[in-house]
Amino acid sequence: MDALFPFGFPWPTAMYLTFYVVTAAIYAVFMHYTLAGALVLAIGRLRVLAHRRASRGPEAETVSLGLLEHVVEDWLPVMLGMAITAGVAPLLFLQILYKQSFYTANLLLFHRFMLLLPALIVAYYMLYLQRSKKLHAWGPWPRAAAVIVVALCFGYTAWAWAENHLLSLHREDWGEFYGSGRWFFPDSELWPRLGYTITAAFATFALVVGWQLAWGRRGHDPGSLDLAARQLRLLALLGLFASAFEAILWYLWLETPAQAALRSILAMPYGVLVFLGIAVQTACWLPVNGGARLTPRRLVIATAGAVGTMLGAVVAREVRRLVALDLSALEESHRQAARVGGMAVFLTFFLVNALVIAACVWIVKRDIAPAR
Amino acid sequence: MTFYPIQDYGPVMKGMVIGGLGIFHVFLAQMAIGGGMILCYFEWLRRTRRSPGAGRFIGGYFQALVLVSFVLGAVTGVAMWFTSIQVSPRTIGVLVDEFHWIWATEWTFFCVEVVAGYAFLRYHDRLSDRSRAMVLFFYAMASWFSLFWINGILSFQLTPGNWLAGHSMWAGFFNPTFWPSLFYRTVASMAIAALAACVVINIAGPHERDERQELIKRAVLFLAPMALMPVFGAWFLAAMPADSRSWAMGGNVTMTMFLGMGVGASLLIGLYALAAILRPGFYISGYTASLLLALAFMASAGGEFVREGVRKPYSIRQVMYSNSIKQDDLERMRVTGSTIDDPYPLRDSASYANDQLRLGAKVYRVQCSVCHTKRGANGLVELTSSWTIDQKRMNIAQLQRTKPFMPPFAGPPREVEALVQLLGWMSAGEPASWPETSDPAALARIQGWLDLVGVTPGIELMRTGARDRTAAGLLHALATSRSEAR
Repeated sequence: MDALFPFGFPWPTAMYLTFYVVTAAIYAVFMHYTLAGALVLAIGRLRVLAHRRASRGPEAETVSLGLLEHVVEDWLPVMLGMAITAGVAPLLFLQILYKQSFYTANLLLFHRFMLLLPALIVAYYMLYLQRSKKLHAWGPWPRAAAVIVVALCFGYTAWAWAENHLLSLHREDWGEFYGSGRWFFPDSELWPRLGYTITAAFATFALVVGWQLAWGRRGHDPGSLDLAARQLRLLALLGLFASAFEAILWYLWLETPAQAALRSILAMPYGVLVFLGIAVQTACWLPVNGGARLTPRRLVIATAGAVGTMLGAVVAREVRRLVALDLSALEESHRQAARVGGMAVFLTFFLVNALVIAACVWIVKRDIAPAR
Repeated sequence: MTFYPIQDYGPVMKGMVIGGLGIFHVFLAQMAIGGGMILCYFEWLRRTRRSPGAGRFIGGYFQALVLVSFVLGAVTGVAMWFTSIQVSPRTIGVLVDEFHWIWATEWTFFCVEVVAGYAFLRYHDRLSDRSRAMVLFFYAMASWFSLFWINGILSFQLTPGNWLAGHSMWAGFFNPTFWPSLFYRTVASMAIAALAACVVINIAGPHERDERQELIKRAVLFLAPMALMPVFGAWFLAAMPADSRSWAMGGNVTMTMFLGMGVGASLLIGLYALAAILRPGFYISGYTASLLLALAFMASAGGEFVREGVRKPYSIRQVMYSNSIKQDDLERMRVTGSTIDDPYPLRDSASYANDQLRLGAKVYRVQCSVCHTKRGANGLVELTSSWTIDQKRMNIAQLQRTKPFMPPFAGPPREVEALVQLLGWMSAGEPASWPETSDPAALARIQGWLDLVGVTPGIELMRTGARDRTAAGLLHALATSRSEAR
């Protein structure tokens, strides 16, 4: 704990920690989009319902979702697919790093944890269903209900993961928890953790949608684009301030050893990175009062801030885990895991497939460009 | 050995849960893999104007592929992982340790599959012909490679091959059943995709029957490689260990039945395909195509059941038994006991009449619960209900001889006796009081049986023909223990 994360650990442990942190940060981008996107869409649908009830006559039929919600509605199924796929890699490195604690928490929560799988299936299909013409013909209520179900499913998934994570940190409770046959692990740390995840999701979400709007600028009505940009600014700032507050709350909630580790050289620079990233993003979002301000330059700077915040937050979360678990006992198993072959193949295909993905995106971008 | 909390699934066997989910996932994944290939072919037909309806088919098929295979396939894939942890965390732990770079490599292909898949779904009607073909090719290539990588891990569990000698990951990956399994699964994927295509053509294809017929004629060409299935199947059987082969070929009635189901269903599809390819004007309706797809599901189910079953008594051959106990742990447990380090209490501790029954319940949990239930599917109480008490003692002590596809019992005589008493108590209707047994003669007899068979796996006993040789020894041990008791 006397060196910057992950340099104080033996190289196999440091390597797996690095892979875990990087892949978890990638996963968090998509997860944040789906979580915040579902909530934004649910609020949008409820807003449409409220306006239609308030309006009378033919104009009631014209009340519909704004540009922001349309973009989210269009992209949510894709982002969910990406989130599930991106989630595979950190899950893999997590198992190498903390096998026993991760598996035990899974086993202890049993149905309660496994329920997130049907929840994801339901959410996935509801996302397709709420876009269908048939459901559209039934009026606004079923579509609103479908999106609310999606938001609830995502909320449940986030809650189940957070609880699973916390249970994995409390080895001393495992025996009693199993013996009692309980389904829930009430731990007061859950709420600031979950609070951080949900609030931070809005900032990431706003940034990704900002890029989407900037890329599709020419296809959007300027008025709608201005409104969407202002809505994004509001979401981003709310998310940034609330997540900063939640991060401080979470820190205060922690026990002394965990707080000390977060203040040490191990994690302190990453903590600074989190708040520096929040500051950069805030500075970028504050002047956005219309679509014209969503410039690539501004978005690049905000993205750099978001990367810092994301990486810093994932490392801080990891340091809290490292304090709770005796990683030195696992170092031998990391050493053994690092001896098996295949890393060169992984790195090669990582590179090759990253190029294939880039080629895919480039081909599509090139071909659809004239259609704008 | 690391102990994990073990959940009770009530009357449901854990194997049924993971098996059911696994079959479903494999079927969907194979549909996606074959789907990629068939879409590339139809895209070529469209580009070269060989088939006027190909374009519309591609759009409809891809939508079906995304809605069924992408959504359910992706989530059931994650579900497989979590369920594997629930059923056997030690097995998945060993596989992750050994093959994490392979899984990580597979993940990079998943990413390509998802990006290319959604890119095609969203923009296929705005892409140039060349771009469409390229994006589809990326999708098809990535989905087939995901099969390539996972196939190495799955086949490793049955035939670790030269990995056992030097623990070289690549020796384990390119194991004896790798290639036959890969080829077989590729052909199966093509067949499933072709049948799914016939369903989609009928549901969302062109309105004109002639056009649909033309598309179906093209799609059924993907059933033609099924002619190679017997070759790959025979190669797979030949490459697997003799004892595993014997379970599938009559040694175990359930596995033989499932193999028969798989072969029979494949044969029926193959014959139908032959007629469809050879007879001009042959048409496969939506109902028939659905029925054939259901048959393909049955064939997959049969094949996957056999693949999982023939690994017994191991979850990873010669590395870990199906109850997740390794050979060296087993030898140690014969002396110290299998439950001594288990930190998890019994949830229903108060319901047992005495401590011996509590020990029996723990032994059941650690050693038996992965494949058996107490009273439900493959229930121990029913399986042993007609045995006398000494039969129970002997059969459990010599588990690997009782059924060679079961692991050796991993505990000392007192644990055998505790399990025997638990089964007796449950058979008797779980009365409130039940005497503890501590008859030294009974324990000595159990020790004799345990020693006689040792910790050698049943499949080894089969191979060496020790069954016959030890029969004489068994009589001798019985006689000795009786004389000691006297």
